[in-house]
Amino acid sequence: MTNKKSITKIGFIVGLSTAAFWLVIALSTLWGLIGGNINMPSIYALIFASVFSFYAGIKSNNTISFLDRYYDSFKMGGIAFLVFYLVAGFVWMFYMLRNVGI
Amino acid sequence: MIKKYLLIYLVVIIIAISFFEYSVERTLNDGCDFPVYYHAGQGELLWGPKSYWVYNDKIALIFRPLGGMSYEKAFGIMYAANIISLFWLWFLMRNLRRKYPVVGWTSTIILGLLFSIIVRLGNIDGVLALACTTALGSFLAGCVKPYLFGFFILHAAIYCYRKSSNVFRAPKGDIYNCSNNYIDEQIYSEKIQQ
Repeated sequence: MTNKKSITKIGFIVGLSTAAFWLVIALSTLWGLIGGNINMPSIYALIFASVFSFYAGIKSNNTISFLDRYYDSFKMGGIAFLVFYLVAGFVWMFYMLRNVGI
Repeated sequence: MIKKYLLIYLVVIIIAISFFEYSVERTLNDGCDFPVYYHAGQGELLWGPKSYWVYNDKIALIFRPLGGMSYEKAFGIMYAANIISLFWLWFLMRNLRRKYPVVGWTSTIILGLLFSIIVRLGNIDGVLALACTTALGSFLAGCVKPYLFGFFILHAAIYCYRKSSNVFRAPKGDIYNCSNNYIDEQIYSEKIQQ
């Protein structure tokens, strides 16, 4: 089968590299190397982007090229980032509002 | 067409210049947002209930050149940079306005309204928005405000899509029944041979 979906070595490399990239950025923000002190939603979103990029990387189609796999991985990471940033942003906002007593 | 846009830009510049003095006084009285950057540029990170430095300490180095100037001059530079950002973003939206006039013009007006606040406060968001139009810029902007890494993900995805040898995308569940792309034909011929 040309379009069989299974975990391959290339898929694992693609998934792991994109996931590692987002995770490094998330941890750099968490440890205060970049960003600032109002970034918790972004950190959660980056971690989710990392997880989903890894998933998309390893599960991308076998027939497609390396860059296509990266495209799939980044696309999935981007969607995950957007969705979780919005969700985490709202949760964080309400958490902050509760803290200031509104 | 060009003259019409120039007229809009000219009106924005006139409005911006007429509000400059007011913006300088207002930001000094309120203490946000530009005074925070300005004091950070002078090596003093403000912490207090009203206005405070929320970024990483290393980012204050960006504002070091502004910190050496007078407040009006530094604010003027940020003011001009934000207006240039707005103009450039409006220019980049030209195809959107041409193809989808309702969405394009609505976005243009909303962007203008948002920028009116950003320009008035001397906020850094306008410059960061401009930076996000490039891949490297979006990475650097993400280092200032991490949610802007979302734009870097977008740039990475677009880069991979454009550079990819296989632009063909099969519709879900039916890989053999679509475009006349040569890769599609290759897959089809393989299927026939099987």
